[in-house]
Amino acid sequence: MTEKITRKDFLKAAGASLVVTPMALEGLDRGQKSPVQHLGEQNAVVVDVTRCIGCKACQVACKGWNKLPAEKTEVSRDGEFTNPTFFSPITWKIVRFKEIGDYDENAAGTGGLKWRMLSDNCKHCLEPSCVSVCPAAALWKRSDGPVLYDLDRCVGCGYCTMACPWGIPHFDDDLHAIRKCTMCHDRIDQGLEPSCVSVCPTDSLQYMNLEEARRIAIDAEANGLYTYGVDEVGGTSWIYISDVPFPEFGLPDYSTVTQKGFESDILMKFAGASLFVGGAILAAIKLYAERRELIMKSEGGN
Amino acid sequence: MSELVWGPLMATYLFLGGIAGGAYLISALVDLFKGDDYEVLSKSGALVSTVAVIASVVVLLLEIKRFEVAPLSFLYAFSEFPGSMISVGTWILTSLLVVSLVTVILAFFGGNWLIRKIVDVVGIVLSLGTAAYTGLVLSYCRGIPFWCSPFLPALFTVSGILTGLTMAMLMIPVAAYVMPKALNSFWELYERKASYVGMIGQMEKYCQVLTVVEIALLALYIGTTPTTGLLLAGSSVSLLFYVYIALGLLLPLGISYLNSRMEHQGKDMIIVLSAMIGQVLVLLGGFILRYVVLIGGQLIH
Repeated sequence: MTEKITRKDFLKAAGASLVVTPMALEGLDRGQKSPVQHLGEQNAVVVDVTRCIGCKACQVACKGWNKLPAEKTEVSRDGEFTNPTFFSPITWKIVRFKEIGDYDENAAGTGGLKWRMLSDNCKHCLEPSCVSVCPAAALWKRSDGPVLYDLDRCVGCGYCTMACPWGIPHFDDDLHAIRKCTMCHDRIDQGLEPSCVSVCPTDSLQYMNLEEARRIAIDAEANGLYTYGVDEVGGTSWIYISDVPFPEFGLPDYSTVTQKGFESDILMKFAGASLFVGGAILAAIKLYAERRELIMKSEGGN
Repeated sequence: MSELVWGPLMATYLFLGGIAGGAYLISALVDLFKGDDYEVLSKSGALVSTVAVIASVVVLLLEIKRFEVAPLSFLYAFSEFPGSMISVGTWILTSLLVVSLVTVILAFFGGNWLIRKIVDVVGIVLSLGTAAYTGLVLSYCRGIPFWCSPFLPALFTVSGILTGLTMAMLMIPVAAYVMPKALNSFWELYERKASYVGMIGQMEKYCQVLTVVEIALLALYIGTTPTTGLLLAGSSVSLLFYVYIALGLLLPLGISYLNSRMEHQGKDMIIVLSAMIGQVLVLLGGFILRYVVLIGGQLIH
């Protein structure tokens, strides 16, 4: 024989649960420790797009130092010089080529166009999304900059690839784990610069203290240049300076909110939407039950 | 992104997760509020939930790329609660599996009614969490703007409840056929027209409410999320999206409405069969929704 709980009691309990659950989750979120390995002061790489000549030495150096095989690619037929055009387990750095229009139409021989190149790779976020979402703690942030990973701990779920604002980590089918730019942490540990920085012939890439890098970027902004990585997703260890907006290179606009802040925002808005939708469903069911009761009463009366 | 990171298996995982949550929710609610007349639905819901959780875990393990070389590596996911949404989901699904199994045991073999009610209430929280998790796990993916909406978990939650209820209803005759001793046989059920057909009618009304809410949430999700224009008119999953709306939402809603008009007209067998057709369409729609959102999000990106 089953016992019944009244609808009123259940609605009270359900309402209380809807209010308390998001608060509890928020509390847990604040208590979350950031998986950071403390190894000294934070360093960064400044990428000055205006100084890049598109030699791809950084791309080659990345392949060489990290012993990454060549990528099988195709020559684009639409004037695209970026090659490869995508990140993969064996391609950690791309030099993005972009022909920019509406540029100084009076400059001789340019036809109002100019080339700009951007050396792109993992941004080594200050609060990385990949680290935040990894269910196996296979990724972590070193306090001196690099975001690293443990091949043996990777579950292979792909969540880091999806959560990364730029889709950087990629699963390697041969190693059975994700791989990405390590900021040449093995070189940094020996007091050297990342390999891409070390070979740049125009100093378009420079390795320095994070604070200094941010100061250079802020000064550049004051001089009318665009920056990327100072504020985006809470800041990154790769900071870009350019005279053309970054969406031209395919780098999306991101707010200053970190991954944890972003998750909290989604969760709170979802909780609000749930309260509204849950209330609407319960109200609809209540109305239906009342209407049914009325009909049954009128049928009984007849 | 050069390739799909999450494919049809992940869509199946999310679909089964939604069914597991929804089926258990219905099982617990009818046990708490509806009493003996709906016992068969409560049992069916608990069974569906148990099977769906197990199936979802199997599908997830097949999707996890490292499983073939390190089958136990997924156990790391238990250690990161509540930091990662996948870890949260791992705990919720595992807990729901335990609760579903306990419910099945209590429902089929008997037990203390108070324990059953406590398990029901705990299970309701877990089942809602499971259905919501299937959307939240996507909406936390900042790299896929199409998923970054609070309306996505709300949509998946409502869709999960609808598909769970539908699957529990659809499985009643199947479970009755497989376990005639535990449940009544289908013909016995059918002969008890007042309760079985009445239950179908009642549940179809809940399905109508849920479908209308799902349509409203879909409109909110599509209307407030960037890059949906490509989904509506420019991607390879656009056609599937319209199939979902037509066959997974509108047609079952129409069938359900016509069924409710046929009540008390002596057309019980037509009601039972057309309800089943509607239920199959709802399930098809539920899967297509997840497939379109999952694959479409990655393609649009």
